[in-house]
Amino acid sequence: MTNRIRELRARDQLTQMDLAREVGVRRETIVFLEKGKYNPSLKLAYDIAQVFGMKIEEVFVFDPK
Amino acid sequence: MKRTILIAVIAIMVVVTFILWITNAELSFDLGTILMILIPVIILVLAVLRIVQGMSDVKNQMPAEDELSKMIMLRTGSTSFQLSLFLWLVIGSVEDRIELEGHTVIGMGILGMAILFALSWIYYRFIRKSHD
Repeated sequence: MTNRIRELRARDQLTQMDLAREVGVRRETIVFLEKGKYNPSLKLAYDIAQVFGMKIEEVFVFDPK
Repeated sequence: MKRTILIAVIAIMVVVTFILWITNAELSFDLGTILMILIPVIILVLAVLRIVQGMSDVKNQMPAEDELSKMIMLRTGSTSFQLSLFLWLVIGSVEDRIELEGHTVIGMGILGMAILFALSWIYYRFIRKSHD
């Protein structure tokens, strides 16, 4: 699964710390998400999408490979 | 915050016990004694690191743990427990061949378990490529 978190964060001028605070996780979790090393829970994915005002599928792209 | 306070209390208890032991025991620098000194030192270093991190989290308004850190700790605990079983098997077989004092064997086991836990945590936190 890939995601657009880094791109959307830059668009909204949010730091990793800002986004982490918004969704109630540690900054390291945002780092892992951006590097594609971690797939979030459905709740966290929903919360992140909410912060950017988008749908989950617009932020997280499922790649079956 | 509660966890940080709990860790601080445990660290203080370790220090007090360590001081009582040092002042009352006649120390000889054999393997057992070195192990008995190393264990509280490792516990204290880890406790200090955890307390510093806890204070930094409070300052930055970060949660003490989240879904990723919980998963890392869960996997760390699981892996280190499985490896510890093998460690005790190895210690058991070594003990049959080499004569060691009881407290040395226990010290080796506890220290080995602590090292395995630390190595497992480092692996899951820094080395493993994916957490899926």
